[in-house]
Amino acid sequence: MPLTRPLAASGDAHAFERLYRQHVNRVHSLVRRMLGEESEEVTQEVLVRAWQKLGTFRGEASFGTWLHRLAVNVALNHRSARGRWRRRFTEQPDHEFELPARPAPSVPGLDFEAAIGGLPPGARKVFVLHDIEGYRHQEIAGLLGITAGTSKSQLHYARMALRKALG
Amino acid sequence: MHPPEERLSEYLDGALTEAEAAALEAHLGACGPCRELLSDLRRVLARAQALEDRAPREDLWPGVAAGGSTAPRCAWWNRSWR
Repeated sequence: MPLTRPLAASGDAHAFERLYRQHVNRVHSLVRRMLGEESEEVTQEVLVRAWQKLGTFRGEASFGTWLHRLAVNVALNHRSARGRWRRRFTEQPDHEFELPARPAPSVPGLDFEAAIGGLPPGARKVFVLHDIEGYRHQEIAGLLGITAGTSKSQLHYARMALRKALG
Repeated sequence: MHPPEERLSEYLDGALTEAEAAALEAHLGACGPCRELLSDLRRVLARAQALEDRAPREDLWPGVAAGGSTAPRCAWWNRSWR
């Protein structure tokens, strides 16, 4: 549907609805895995922003890739906003990327998606971005504000925890 | 002596140098527990890559249509007043 995107960018709701139907499950699954919980609110926010920013899409990547990057950024900012609030009002440091001394408990046979949701936030984000979405450690490091070495450690921690969920 | 476990993840991702990979493969040839762990890590990666997308619990189109068809607004404002 080559004309769908330009029509949607010009405000055509039917055209954007076609894009929405095509991509909503993908966006929602990414957001849910990044946040570790169902979040229709954040999925909706991604799609609203996509529509509003559609005019800035240059076509250098595919529309799916562009939307995917937007979803990652919105999901990360959503979390960071909560973290900023927490730090401001409770003076608690952000321990997101500190790994527990003991591996995360995993229940054999537990639904794999649920097991991903049970990972510590830092390890979960790295696992989702690397093993599910195919990002490289260097890219993940840039997105999350960590080093590539930390990204590798978090990934290995997540894989070790999740292997038990496979039963 | 076993290599650090993290090394197995790096091997799986093709992040080791040729010499490092050869040394690890020599160890794997003689070490059942490390082979088993590598096999588990492979299964985790395969499972992750086979995950299927799921739809939201409700159709979000009405909210997207309402939000996207108007002028850009502040996200926190939308959330606060929904």
